[in-house]
Amino acid sequence: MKPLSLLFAPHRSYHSPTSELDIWWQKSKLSNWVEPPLVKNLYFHLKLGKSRLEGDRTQLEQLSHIIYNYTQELLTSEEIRSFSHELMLEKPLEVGTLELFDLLNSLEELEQDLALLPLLPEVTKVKNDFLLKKQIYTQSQQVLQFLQNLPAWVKVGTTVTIGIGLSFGMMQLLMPSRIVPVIISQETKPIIPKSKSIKPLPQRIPSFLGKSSSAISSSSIRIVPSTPPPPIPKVIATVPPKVPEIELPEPVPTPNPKLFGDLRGEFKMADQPRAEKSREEEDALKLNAARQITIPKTLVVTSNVQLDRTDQLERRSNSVDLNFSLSQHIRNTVGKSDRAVKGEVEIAVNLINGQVNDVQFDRSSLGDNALEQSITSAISSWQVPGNPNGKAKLTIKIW
Amino acid sequence: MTIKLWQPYPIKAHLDLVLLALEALTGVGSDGMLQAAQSLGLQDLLGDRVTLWRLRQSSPLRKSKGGRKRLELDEARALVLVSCKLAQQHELAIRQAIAYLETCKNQKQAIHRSPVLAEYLERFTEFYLERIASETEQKQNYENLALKLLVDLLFYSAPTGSKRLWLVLLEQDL
Repeated sequence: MKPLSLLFAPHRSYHSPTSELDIWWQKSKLSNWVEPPLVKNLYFHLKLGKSRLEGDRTQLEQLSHIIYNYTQELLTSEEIRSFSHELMLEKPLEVGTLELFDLLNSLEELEQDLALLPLLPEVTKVKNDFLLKKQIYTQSQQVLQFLQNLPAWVKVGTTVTIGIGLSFGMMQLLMPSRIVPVIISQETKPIIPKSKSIKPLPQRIPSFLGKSSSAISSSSIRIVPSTPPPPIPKVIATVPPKVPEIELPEPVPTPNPKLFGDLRGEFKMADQPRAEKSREEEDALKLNAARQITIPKTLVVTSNVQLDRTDQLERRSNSVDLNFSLSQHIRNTVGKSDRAVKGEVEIAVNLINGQVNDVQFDRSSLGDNALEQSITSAISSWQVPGNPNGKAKLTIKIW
Repeated sequence: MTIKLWQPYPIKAHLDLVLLALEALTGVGSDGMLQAAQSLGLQDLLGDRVTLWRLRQSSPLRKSKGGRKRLELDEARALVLVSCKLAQQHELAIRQAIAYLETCKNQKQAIHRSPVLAEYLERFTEFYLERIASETEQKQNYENLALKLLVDLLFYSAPTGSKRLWLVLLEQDL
């Protein structure tokens, strides 16, 4: 969906006393035969108390996932510690109980109102984009040839008109197929997850998520502060059309997307000493120059669990939960490490009856044995939800 | 001291406590519960006060004996549906109570300053002491438990509340 959609009234709005969720979507042609409407892309805008969030369907799915799991955890907890709730989005978002309740209801209502068409794997999308751009290029060449044959006075007027139209069209096509979040301001304060004990997440993932692609990408939800940003934001990041994560989890051949999932998340590492920090920032800037991103230190954890067939039927063995639990655990443990190391590791983890049986480094560019060891021990100490059997492929990127 | 809500017989105790919180907040009694059951077509399972009383007495937390030892699946389902129906009927009252609670917390005021919350806490404690608390538990503070149940009620008051409550019961029971 393009931001242009915002010029039109939303296709559906869910308004409650504390939240306003507006949805724009692009219907699939298949919608003629199915009920509820089958939607290909969507764009949402959420007003929740003083916060504003917006994003595409992946980000909405990510938000739904967080809200559903948080609520389930809240309801099954033995006591309530606080009446405000910190949702671990790109930047932690604090919401009140009524806000959480209203948002959950809106998301559930939305889930009943439409179905999402599964996304194509990213590789195919890139290929399609290329073909589209090629087609547009050929067409624009033809238009230019046509213009050259016109009388001079027509040329001027038409060139201006078509030029504007074309550049607008090209802009639209060259823009990402989804809204890539733009962080308006970013705090350098480290984000440390609540020390609250996290129980194994329930396997009951809402069908809203199940209907979609199994991949929940790390793309973050855009949070637009209602109050103006500080005069000199410490870090200004502009995310380019391409999503930073180029490496994608292996497409999982499964008839049921609910059983497989992939979760990524970003976690900013603990503060470095001042002098070292500025160097880190410079390095990060160089490393991300192509993406124009300036984030001091980021840990991206990608987890892809493939369960054995018998475990897929087990109630507690759900790949989505396992991925979430594993990546969360890694972020919580490894993310607190203060080692100034950059690189990427690929690890294969073998699960037997809910125990981490084997941890194997397939690839590592960290060059830091101590950190690798701490990653290994972090994985070994992972409390696996349920008693699953299977393999997990874990990618940890630190920069 | 934290009161363990769900151990060792989570479903029976939980359902009784949810209804107890509803009674304390909204003043709904057994008549209201039976009416709700009737409107849901559950009169075969919850037809009269004695049946309702015996089902609620099945909670292992209850002081007095005489309730059913076993709660059948259909009966548990009926109690879930009735609880959520009542929560839905009193959604405004529950919402208002939560709004007061948030205001008190934001302004760092004691929650007893809100008349609605004060009354709810008082009634909840009274019911709990009368029906559940043993002699050694008489001096405990039941505020946390009451507030936890109040927040739960809010989520059960949604159209999908019964699904949520059922999932919570299953989750607790495993």
